[in-house]
Amino acid sequence: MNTDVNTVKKLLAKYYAGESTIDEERVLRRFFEAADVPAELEADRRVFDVSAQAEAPSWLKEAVVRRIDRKMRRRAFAKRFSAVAAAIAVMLAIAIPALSPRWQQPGTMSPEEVRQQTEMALNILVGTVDKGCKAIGESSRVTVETTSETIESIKNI
Amino acid sequence: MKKILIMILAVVAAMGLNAQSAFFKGCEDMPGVSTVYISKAMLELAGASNITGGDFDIGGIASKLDGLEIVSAEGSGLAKLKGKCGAFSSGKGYEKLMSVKNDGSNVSILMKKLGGGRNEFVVFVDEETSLVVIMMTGTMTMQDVINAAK
Repeated sequence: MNTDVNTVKKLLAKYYAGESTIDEERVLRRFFEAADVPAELEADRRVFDVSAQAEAPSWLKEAVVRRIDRKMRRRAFAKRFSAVAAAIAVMLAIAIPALSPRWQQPGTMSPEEVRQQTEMALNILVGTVDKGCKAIGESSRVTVETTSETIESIKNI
Repeated sequence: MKKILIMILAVVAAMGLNAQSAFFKGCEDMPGVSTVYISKAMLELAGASNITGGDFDIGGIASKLDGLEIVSAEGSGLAKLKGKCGAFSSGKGYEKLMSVKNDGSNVSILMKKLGGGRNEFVVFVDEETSLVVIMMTGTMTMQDVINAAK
């Protein structure tokens, strides 16, 4: 890939400002590896030569590897822990309200009061249905009787 | 990130299973309005499934209850509570099953299917000077209520 000098200069400015991307640095490295580097960029070529030949000391390499290992271990632990934490959170969210009636009922009620309220509510529900059903039966009986009486009256006319 | 989001959703959903209805929450801080909430855990603790009092065999229905909410008002709270009862309109899935008028009180029963075999029964006891709204959720059906009345 041929890269013109102006582009290289722009990329160098970004490189020295610490704003270049890896791809841009790759373009610069390739450019300086070529034999025909202009004289005005000779100093920059030497910078890239030095950085290409630079070898990190073994203690630095080991420190970096150790750090990466530690980070990976932490990430793996966090991954495993988040699943366990999710399960615990769901269990607590279900269990706490279920096991602690007072948590939902600020004005605490005694079991006897609970029974009374429940009994009252269900008796109203069932009692109303009972009354409704009886009223339906009564109205059917009255309708049948009235109809029969009317038919009899018509027959007697 | 995805796991955290799932965790938050799961917790919110789990909390929702135990939550009181929006109508009930809206009435809790109303002056002149009394509220009573009884959770399934409290019903079990109180042995509600063994209730035998009254003229009806209500123990069977009591054991199917998941929760009970009672909201009542008299005097100054009456108009406010009546104004909130629009929450039980047919547009919101409530169906009026029965309405009985007797001795100055008008009792209406509404039902809403909640899915998963669960139903909500709402009973309005409307009198001249008071209104009681009873909301019952659970797996009981209208047939269970009719059977209890026999």
